[in-house]
Amino acid sequence: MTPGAFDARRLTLARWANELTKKELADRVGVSAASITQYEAGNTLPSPAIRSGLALACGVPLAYFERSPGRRRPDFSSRSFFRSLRSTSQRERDRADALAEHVVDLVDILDARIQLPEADLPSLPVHRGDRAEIEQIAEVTRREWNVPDGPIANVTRLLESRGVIVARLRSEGRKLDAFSRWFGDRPVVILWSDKSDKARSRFDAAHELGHLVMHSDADPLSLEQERQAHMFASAFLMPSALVASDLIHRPPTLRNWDDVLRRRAYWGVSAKALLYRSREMGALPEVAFRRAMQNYNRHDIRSRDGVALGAPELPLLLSRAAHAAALDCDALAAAAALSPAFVAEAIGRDVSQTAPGDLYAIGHRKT
Amino acid sequence: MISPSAAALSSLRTHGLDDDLIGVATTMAEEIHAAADDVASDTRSAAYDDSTSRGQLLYRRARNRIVARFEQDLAISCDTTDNALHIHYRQTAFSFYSAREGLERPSVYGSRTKRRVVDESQMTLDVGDEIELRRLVLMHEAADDGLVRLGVGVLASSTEWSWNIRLYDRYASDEGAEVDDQRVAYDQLPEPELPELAPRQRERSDHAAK
Repeated sequence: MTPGAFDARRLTLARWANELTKKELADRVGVSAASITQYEAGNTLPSPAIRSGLALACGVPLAYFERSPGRRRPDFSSRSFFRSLRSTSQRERDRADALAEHVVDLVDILDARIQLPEADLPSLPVHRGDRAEIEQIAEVTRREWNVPDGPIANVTRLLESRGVIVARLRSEGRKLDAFSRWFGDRPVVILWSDKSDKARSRFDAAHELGHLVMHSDADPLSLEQERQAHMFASAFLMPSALVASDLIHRPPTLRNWDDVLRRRAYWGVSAKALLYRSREMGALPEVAFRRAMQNYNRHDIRSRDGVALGAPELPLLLSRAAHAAALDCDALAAAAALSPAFVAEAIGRDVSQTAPGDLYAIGHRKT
Repeated sequence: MISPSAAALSSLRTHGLDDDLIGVATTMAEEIHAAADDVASDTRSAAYDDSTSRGQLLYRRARNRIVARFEQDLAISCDTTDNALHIHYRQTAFSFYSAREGLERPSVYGSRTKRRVVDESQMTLDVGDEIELRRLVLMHEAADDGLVRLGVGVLASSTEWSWNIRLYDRYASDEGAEVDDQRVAYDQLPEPELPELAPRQRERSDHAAK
């Protein structure tokens, strides 16, 4: 690699992906934190020896830092939406953004070989932000996508069929919610695979769709936009015109949780989400809602709720694209200068469960 | 338009309301309904106004509408002392409140006027075939998009009904509705198909050249 081919932004990305401060990275490499700042700003080029040290410290191949004409440069001008802003540290958000960038690296490689579906999302900016408007936006989105009346069979697949890249990654114990972001014309949604709650995962995907549809003027720190995306998810999964007969009118007692769970199983949401929707639509008064939530905890419904719906929906698009491109994990990893384990995770294949020669069998179809 | 169900009308009569009293209650209910719609449409752009101010707005608009509605009716008097509203028809007085904790849990306390309302409710006389209703209370639940439920009844105490009949319920037809177990749940529906992922043309021609 020639000195001019060093992509300073990749260094920032690698540091974020490893959740390292500049000082921590500097200590590992044996330079000053100020030097890392200079490298990341592109003011100074690290020597070949220091590049090797940086690569080693960040666990990436030297090629990772390469800047070449066909390779996208990371874009730090826009950031992702994070729901739990108060509980998510900047370091965790940086790591998540870095992982999303890496997913997009894979998408670029696949998209150069395979015609991935173009993003087909309505752009419906929010004006008033009240419930009536958000309900309407959710309704228009369903209509424009020809979603049949009733529950949505597979939210992840629906998004993928409209060109949204969905990846499930391991949060490794971090308190992170799903997040989304536009990379140029390509919308990306990241879900966390260590949350095994199917209802939650479906709701998360719908929530992120809300951001992508409504918030072209994204403000990742806006709690108001988070609230709107939440309302969107609720209305998208349970349209007001269709859900009325399933709304809850009284706080469930121990005897009638089964009925609530049956209703929520029809829509593929959690009982909690159905209770929120019931409150939102005025079927459950505020005080009754609070009592319902108390009962939810007291009667330990959580273990019978979203988790009980089964395994979360799995993305399929990238796995299929890799198969169509005849690229295995190693080839993809080499092309993107990423680890095969990350590639397998990002495209929806678990390396540890992959038999040799069976790299891209499509394993996530519903039986 | 408020149209109590046949069962509700029958219950009201059982509790001593004749057609005239039912008419007064229904008229009041209609004005509360209209006021709730007004407030919902006015406050939607500021939907996160606190519910208290929305409730106060609803109370005042409903009160003004009811007064205007009964203005020409000489048999009915409207007492608006202390910003409250008491509608008097024959020996029966009507008042209305919001049911912040739901219709099943009235909470009418905190002022002398409300104490009087509860006291008068308890003075209902039930002698032989005659029931003399001194005070009827209408209570309503409203959401940010309008009226949800409204009932009329007699209070046994500041937090309990002696009886209470639903005059309006937005979800009445759904209340207690049995869920159709034959419905096709989300996980039984066909999933959306991914489009065909074709190789890019350049790749094809490269292959062809080889």
